[in-house]
Amino acid sequence: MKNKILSVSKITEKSLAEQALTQFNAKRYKDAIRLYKKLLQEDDTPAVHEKLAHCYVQRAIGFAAKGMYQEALVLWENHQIHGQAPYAAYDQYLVWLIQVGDLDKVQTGLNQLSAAQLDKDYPKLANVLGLLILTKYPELQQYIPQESAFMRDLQTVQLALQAMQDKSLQAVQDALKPLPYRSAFKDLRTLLHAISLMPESVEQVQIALAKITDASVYYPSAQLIKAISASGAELGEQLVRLNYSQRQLVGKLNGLADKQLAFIEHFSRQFEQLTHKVQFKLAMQYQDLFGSHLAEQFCRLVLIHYPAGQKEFNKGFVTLNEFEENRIKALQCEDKGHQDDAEYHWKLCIRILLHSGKEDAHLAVALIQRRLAVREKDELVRAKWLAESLQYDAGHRDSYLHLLKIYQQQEGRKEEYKACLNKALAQFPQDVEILAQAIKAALKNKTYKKAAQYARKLLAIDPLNTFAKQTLFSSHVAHAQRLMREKKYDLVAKEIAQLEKLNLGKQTQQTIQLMQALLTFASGNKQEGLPAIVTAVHGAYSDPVNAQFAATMSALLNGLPVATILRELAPVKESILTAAELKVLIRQLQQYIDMGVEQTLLHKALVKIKAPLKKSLLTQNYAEALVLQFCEVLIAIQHFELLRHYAKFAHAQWQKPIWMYYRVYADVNGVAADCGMMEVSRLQYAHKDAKESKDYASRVLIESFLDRYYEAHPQRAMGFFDAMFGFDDADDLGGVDPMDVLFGDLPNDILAELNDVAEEVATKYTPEELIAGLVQEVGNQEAVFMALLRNSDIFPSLLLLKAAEQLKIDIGVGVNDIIEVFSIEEKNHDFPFPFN
Amino acid sequence: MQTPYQILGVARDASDAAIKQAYLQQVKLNPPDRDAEKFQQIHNAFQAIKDHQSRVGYDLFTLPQVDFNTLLDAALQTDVSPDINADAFKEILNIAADDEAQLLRAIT
Repeated sequence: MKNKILSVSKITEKSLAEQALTQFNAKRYKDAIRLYKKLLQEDDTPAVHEKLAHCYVQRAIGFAAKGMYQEALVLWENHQIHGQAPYAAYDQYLVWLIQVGDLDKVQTGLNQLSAAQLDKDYPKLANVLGLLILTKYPELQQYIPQESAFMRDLQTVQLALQAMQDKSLQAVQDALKPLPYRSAFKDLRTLLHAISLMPESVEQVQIALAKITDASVYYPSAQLIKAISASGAELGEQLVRLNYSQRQLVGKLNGLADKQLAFIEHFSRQFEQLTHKVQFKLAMQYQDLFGSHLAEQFCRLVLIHYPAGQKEFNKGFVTLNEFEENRIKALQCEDKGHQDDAEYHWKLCIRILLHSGKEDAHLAVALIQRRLAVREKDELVRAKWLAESLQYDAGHRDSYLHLLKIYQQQEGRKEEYKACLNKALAQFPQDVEILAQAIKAALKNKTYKKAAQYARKLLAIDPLNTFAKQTLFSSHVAHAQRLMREKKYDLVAKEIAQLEKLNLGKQTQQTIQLMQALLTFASGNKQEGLPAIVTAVHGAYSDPVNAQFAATMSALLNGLPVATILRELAPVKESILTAAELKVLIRQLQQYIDMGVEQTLLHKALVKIKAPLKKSLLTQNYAEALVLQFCEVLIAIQHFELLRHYAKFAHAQWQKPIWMYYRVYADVNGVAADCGMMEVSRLQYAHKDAKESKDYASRVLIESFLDRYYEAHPQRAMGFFDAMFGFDDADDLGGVDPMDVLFGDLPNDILAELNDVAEEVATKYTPEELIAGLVQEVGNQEAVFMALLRNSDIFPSLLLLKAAEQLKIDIGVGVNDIIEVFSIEEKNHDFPFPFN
Repeated sequence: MQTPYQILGVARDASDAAIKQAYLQQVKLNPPDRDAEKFQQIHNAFQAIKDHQSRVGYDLFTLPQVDFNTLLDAALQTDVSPDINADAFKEILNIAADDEAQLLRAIT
C-alpha cells in the first residue's frame, strides 16, 4: 500500500492541486487529505477547506462501516474544523457517539438540533433514535426538542406499548391511530399490526411484515416476528439465518421443545453444506422427530445419491417387501428414462401381484399393463399389453378403443379386431364411440343390416349423430342395390320406401330419386327409366364428369348395363373438372370408400373419366391441398395409375417430401418390397428433407414405408452402407437429389430393370471392386473415400452404372458424370480420423 | 409436498362420496378465478383419488416425494400458537437495537 501512495516530493510535472483532485476523484481520501493539507499551506482558500472537510467525512464513514467508531468520530470532528454548519453526516455522527456511549456529546449534539431539523432534515436519525429510546437509551428523550413531531409520536407509541402491557391488542391499535403516515415510528406500527394479525393468518402477517424494508432499523425485529409466525420448513429456513440467542427466543415463543431446538442447532451448523450424506445422517439421527415412516421414505430416496448409507439404513429400518421394492425401483427407472429396466421391475410386480391373492391385485396388474402399453413404442407390444390388461380389468373403455385402433391399422388382425369389438360392445352397449366403431366394422365387412342396427342404436342415444344417419341411409341403399342385383324388384321398392321414411335431406332425396329411376329401368321400363336416370343424375351432379362417374357406379352397384345408361349422358372425354367439381368427385369416392365398395368397381368407373382427370390437372391450377386430398383418396382405393400421374405433376410443382413419397409409392404400386435402390434412395432423401423441414406427417409415412422395405430386405436393413458412409451427414449438393440428376431422365421401365440387376451386382462385387474404376479415374483414393463418407448415394450410382454395363444399355451416364455430380475431385476435406 | 389426501383434507380411507364432498368444498373455498394455480392443484388432487381405481393407481404409481423440507415440516410443528406479549416484544426490539450493522444501514 505504501508503494501506491504518491510521495509529494515526486510531484514535479503536475501541480499539487491537480494531484489532490485526482486522488479526491479516485476516492483515495487518505492521500487526498495529505495533499490538501499540504496545499492548504500554500493556498488557504475556502475551496480547499471544503474539499478537505469532504475527505474527512468520507473517511469517517468508511471507518464507521468497519465498526471503528472512535476513529470515525475523530475524523468527523476534523471535518468540523474545515466545514460549516449544517455539517455533513451529522445524524451518523450522533449515532456513532451513541455506539461508543459518549452520551454527553450526544446531549450536546441533540441540543443543537431544532424540532424542524429533526423532523424534516434528519428522518433516518429520528427512526434510529425512536428505537434506541424505546429500548436501551430512554434517557435520550429529554434532549430531544420537546415541540417536535417526533416527541408527539413517541408519546403515542409509548401509550400503545402500555396498552400491550395490559394485553389489549385492540387498545394497541386504537392508541396508534393518531400516528401520522410518515412518522418515525411507522415501521414499529407495522410490527404491532403484524402481531395483531398472528392469531388470524400467517400469510397476512408475512404480507404486513414485507412492508418493512431491509434498510429499516426495525428489519431484524420484522425477521424475528416472521420466524415466530412460521412453522415447519419455513420456520427452519428462518431460524438458520438467526444467531443462537435469536433462535432460542423464536424457539421459546414458538413453543419448540428441547429436542426440536437441539435439532435446529444441529441443522443450523450444517445447513450451508447440506449434502445428501448430511441430510441422510440428520434423517437417521432425528427420525423420532420426523416420524419413522417419513424418515425411512426420505432415506430410501437419498440412498440413490448416497449409497454408502445402505448399511446404516438396513440397521435402522425394516427392509421392504419384494413388491414394494420392485415398485419403487420401477418408478425410479422410469424417472431416469430407463424404460427397459422399469419394465423388468413392473413384470416382477405383476408376478408378485398375481400370486398375492390380494383384493385389488387384478386391478393393479391391469393398471401396470396399461402403463407399460402407454410407454411402449412398438404397436404390436402395446396391443399385447392392452389386450392382457383387459383380461384383468375388462371395464376399461379407453383400452378397448385404443386396441381397436391398433388392430384396425394393422393388416391380418381382423379376428382380433372382431373379438375386441364384441367384448367392447358387451361391456359398453350404450357407448357412442364403440357403437361408431361397430358401424364402421360392419360397413367394412359389408354386413349392412348389422351396420343399420348399430346405427339405429346409436341414433337412439344420439339422435343428431350424422355419421349414424348417413350409415343408416347408406346401409339401406346398399341393401337395395343387392336386391336389385338379385332382381328382387318388389323388395327393392320396399327398401326405397324405407329410405323415404328416413327423410334425411336434399342429397338423400336425389339418391332415392336415382334408385327409383334405376328400379324403373331394371323392371323393364327402359323408355321411362333411362330419362329418369339421366334426370336424377343431372339433378345430383351438374358437371358431366361427376354425373358420368355417379351413373357408372350406380349401374355397376345395381348390376345394370353401364354402356346403355352412359349412352344417354353427354360424353366426357373433352370435359374439364374445376377445383369445386374435383372436390365433389373426392366426396363421391370417399362415400363409396366408407361404404366398403369394392375397389375394382371404383377403378372401372374411374376408367371412364380418366382422360378429363388427367387433362384437368394440367389446365386447372389446382391448389396443393386439393391435389393432396385427391391423392389420399387414390391411395385408399389403390389407383396407382392416376396417383402416378398426379404425384409426378405435384412433385415437379411443389418439391416436397410427400410428393416424392407418393411418386415412389405409385411407381411400386404401394408394395414397399418392390422398391429398387433408386426408389429407396429417393425415399431416404425425402425422409431427410421431411426431417429437416419438420414435416412430421411425411416423415412418419416415409419411415413406415421404408420399414416395410427393410422388413422385406433384411440384408439392406442392416444398413451396412448407410452406417459406413453416414447417410445422414449433410451433403454439399444444395438439396438437389444427385440420383435424380444422374438417372432422373431414364424411363421407368429401364430404371426398374437396372434396379433388379443392381441388386444382383451388389451381391457379386465387393465395395472395393465397385470403386476401383472410380479411383482409377480420379487418381486419388483418398478423395474417393472422402466423397463416399460424405455421400452414400455414390454407391447406388456405381451399382446402377455396373448394372447398365451388364445389360449393355447406354444410359448416357458414366464414371465421369458421377465424379462431376458428387464433386469428388473438387472436395479436399480434412480427414476426420485422428490418424493421418 | 402435499398428497392429494392432504390437499383435499380427507383420510386415506375416505369413501368416493367423502372425497367428492371435500373436493366441492375446496373448490368453493378456492374458485378458479381467485387462484387458478390452487384450483388446479385441488382439481388434480381430486382426479388422482376420485374413485377406487384412481386410488389404486395413485398408490401404485406414486413415488414417495419426501424431500428435506418434508422432514422439516414434520419436525418443526408445535401445538402452541405463538404469542408475542409486551415483554417478548421488548426483547424483539432489543435484538434490533443491538444490531449495530443494521443501525448503520438504517442511518446511512
